[in-house]
Amino acid sequence: MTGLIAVLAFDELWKVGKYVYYGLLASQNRGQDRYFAAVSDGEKLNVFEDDLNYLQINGSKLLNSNGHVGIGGTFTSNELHRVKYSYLREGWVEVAVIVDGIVDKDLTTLCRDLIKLMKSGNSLAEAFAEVVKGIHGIYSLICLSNRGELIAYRSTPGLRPLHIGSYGFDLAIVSTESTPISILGGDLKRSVRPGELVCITPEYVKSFTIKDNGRPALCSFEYIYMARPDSILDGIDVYHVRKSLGYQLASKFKHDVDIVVGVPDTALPYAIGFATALNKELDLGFISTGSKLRTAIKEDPKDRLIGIQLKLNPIRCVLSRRRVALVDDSLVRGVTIKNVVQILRNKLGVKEVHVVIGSPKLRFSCPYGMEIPPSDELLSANLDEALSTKYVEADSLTWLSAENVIELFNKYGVNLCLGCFLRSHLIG
Amino acid sequence: MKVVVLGDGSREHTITILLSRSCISPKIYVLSSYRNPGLKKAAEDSGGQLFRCNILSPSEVKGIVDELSPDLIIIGPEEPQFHGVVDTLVDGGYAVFGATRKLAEIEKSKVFMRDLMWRFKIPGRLAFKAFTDVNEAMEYIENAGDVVIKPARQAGGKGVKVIADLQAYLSDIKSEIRREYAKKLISDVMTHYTDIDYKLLIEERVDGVEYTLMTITDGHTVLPLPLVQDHPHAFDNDLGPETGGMGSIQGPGYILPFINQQEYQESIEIIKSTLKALQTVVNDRYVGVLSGQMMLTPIWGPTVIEFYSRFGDPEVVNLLHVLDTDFLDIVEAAVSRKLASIKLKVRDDLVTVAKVVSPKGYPNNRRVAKGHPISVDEGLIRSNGCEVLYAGVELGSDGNLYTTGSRIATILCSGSNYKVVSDVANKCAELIKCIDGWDTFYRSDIGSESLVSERMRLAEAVRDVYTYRRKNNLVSIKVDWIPGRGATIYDYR
Ligand SMILES: Nc1ncnc2c1ncn2[C@@H]1O[C@H](COP(=O)(O)OP(=O)(O)O)[C@@H](O)[C@H]1O
Ligand SMILES: [Mg+2]
Repeated sequence: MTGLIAVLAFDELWKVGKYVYYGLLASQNRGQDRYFAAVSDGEKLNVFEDDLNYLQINGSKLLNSNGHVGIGGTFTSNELHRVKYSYLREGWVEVAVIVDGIVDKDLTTLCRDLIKLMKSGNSLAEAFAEVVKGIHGIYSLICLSNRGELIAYRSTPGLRPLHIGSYGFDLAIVSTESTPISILGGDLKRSVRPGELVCITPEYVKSFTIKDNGRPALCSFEYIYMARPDSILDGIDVYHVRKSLGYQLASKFKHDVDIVVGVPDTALPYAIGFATALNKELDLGFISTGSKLRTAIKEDPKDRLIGIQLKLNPIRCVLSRRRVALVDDSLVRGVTIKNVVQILRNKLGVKEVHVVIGSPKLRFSCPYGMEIPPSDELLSANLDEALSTKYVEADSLTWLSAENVIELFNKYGVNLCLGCFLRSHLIG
Repeated sequence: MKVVVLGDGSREHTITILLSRSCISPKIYVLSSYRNPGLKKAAEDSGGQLFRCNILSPSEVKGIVDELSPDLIIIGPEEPQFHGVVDTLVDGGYAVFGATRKLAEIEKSKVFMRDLMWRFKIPGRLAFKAFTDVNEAMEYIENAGDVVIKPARQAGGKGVKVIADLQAYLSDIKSEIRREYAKKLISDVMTHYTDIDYKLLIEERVDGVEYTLMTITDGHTVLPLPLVQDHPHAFDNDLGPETGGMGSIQGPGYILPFINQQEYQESIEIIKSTLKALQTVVNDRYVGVLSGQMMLTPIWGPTVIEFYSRFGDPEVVNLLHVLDTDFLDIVEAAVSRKLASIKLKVRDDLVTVAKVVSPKGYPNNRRVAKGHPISVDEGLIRSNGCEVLYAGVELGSDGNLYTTGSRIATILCSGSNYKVVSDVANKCAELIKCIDGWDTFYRSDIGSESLVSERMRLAEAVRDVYTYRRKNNLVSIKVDWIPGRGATIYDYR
């Protein structure tokens, strides 16, 4: 995945490098391996890219860069074969572009096409409005020119989020999720509409409808796993979604337990909702070591396991000799949960482990850019409930149904893509 | 009857239209710094005339007025008041509607205003520090935290820097901005003004919903007008730099959908107390307009951001469609100190939306925004039930209209609900264009359902906090402490 961030100051007193820097830090949930950033002072673009681990060590060039407008993106290494950003200079025009999602066009070619149109007198927005006609995909995109023109586009039907915020009279902020806007001290204003192109310069903010085809649809996996729980996506609080789904899970759960624990960090809101509905004690089951890693999106299986074990050191006095409901947000390969169940049972002497999953059975890969492994690597696509339960070595395994999710989102009045659970993508 | 109106924007255009509706049909003479086509037409239609002059020069203004010997003079903007134009005219024996120089300090000097509010313990006051010494100000700014920097003198809606500073990791960049900005203010803005000792005002920052309460007074009676909400950000969704105001909404009735009757009453009380305090310290009688630019905040509820010694522009434009009392009667009653005899009639079946159309480049790069020929389809705008009030437009010697670099004009629209009215206003705003292809812009979101309900949500959250805190006696003191310099205590009780 990619976390997009863009910051523009209306008053050229500001240097936004530091804002882009912290925007990147706040977008790591969507990509923790690499970053790319570009900053314009109205004349030229300065470009920065590196391993994201080094950002805090040698990000000083970005921090101190001169310029009142900048963009940035965070990426996962799974995706590096699929280039998500590009920078190109031809003559006096420079353009940098970053994409979250899937496009069928090579990004360097995209930059070249933009530059060609800009050289013949078009603004970046005009050029993009033309070039976008030849792009197919499901994506959100930000783009910056050396002249300091910033554009943001969100493709229909809206599966990849994009938001606009502001900081007083001084800054405009564009970001995939709303959280980076608040981390930068700003206020979330609205989401970009699917099919809408927003262009921002110190002299104007304009919005164009490029495409308007029907009801927007949001990605259920954003709400279930990808987004930060403190984000608000398209007006819906991610935390509230997760807690409500946890609440609904309780009605599917048929066992008695002494205690509820959640797998940190993503599953905690689910565990809170679940324990509340069940009226059982919620406790802290695990403490993590080292930096926060998002284990599910690591590619190498061994890395994943190391990540899990560092993340999940159990607290003995909470778990030992109890009957435990262990809540997780999703079940991908089942490796994480199996490992945790083994530790709980073998090392801590937990009497019963009931695994509770805050989402429906994950069975299909995502053609729209959400990094879900291929079907043959997904537990629920290959083993039935009984075998899955035995595989993860749990005493029971409970999922939500797709209907549970649909019902919740109907309350918000939005369309949802549940393709990774139901194959038929974009239903609602 | 002859009436002189001084000023050149859409506020004055509104005033002339209000006057021309009077059953007395006065002859209107306008004194302006440029040839605003709206003012010119309104003056000429009434049998009067537009005179160009330096409206800040008391002697030049008096010279023309002496020729005209009018029955009444209405002062539109604040700067002529600051320059003593009213004092000269009053001394010359004229009936003037507008604050004298000393009374207009309430707008001119934000330091004077804050000081007055603290001295008289007027509710809605904010903690502040004023500086004459640049170095001292700089030192304070270093550690000031979450504050607003303002030029100590009103500088035509330019120069306020609101820097929310609650993230330590971004705070050095903000200190730098504050420092740079304070320097710029002192060197660029404050050096133009020699009429004030203080240079900078640093004020506690608050959050909430802004609104304007305009009142008319004869120094004794205060006649509150319906509340109006201005939109200072340049672009849709409250994005972008501060402007003189990109549009305003009003109604239905005296309050707004997000400000309740009690908050309206409290705001009126704040203006009344301030008026009383002001007249006491200045020892003069206030005749004219006193407006409060207010914010509903969690600390106070109704809180004063600043006062105007005049009508707000564009706020006054909204009144054009709802004021049912003869405006000339009101002004005459005020100057003859019989305002108590006026009963205001306001249409409460309408809401009004005013939208300002500006040239690209406004507000930060007015140089490029100036000198573009424009066309205004007045006929079509009228046939939509809307009105155009001209602002930064000059009638050139070739008969064409040109932008002055400031806001071009205000469209006023009214109807039974905000959504419909806002949509019609948007349509009409499209009818003002630069014919050389230069871009213009306006805010399509003003009056929209989503923005109005957003304000309602915000106001509701603020209201929840301030009413709770009042009820539980949690309104207390604020302590400002600079290490090594001792503490300042602000008592809000
Ligand atoms: N103390 C404050 N806290 C938060 N915002 C403020 C404060 N003072 C001013 N502002 C914001 O800045 C804008 C301009 O300030 P104001 O005092 O009205 O100056 P002016 O209109 O002369 O530029 C206000 O409309 C308000 O949005
Ligand atoms: Mg103001």
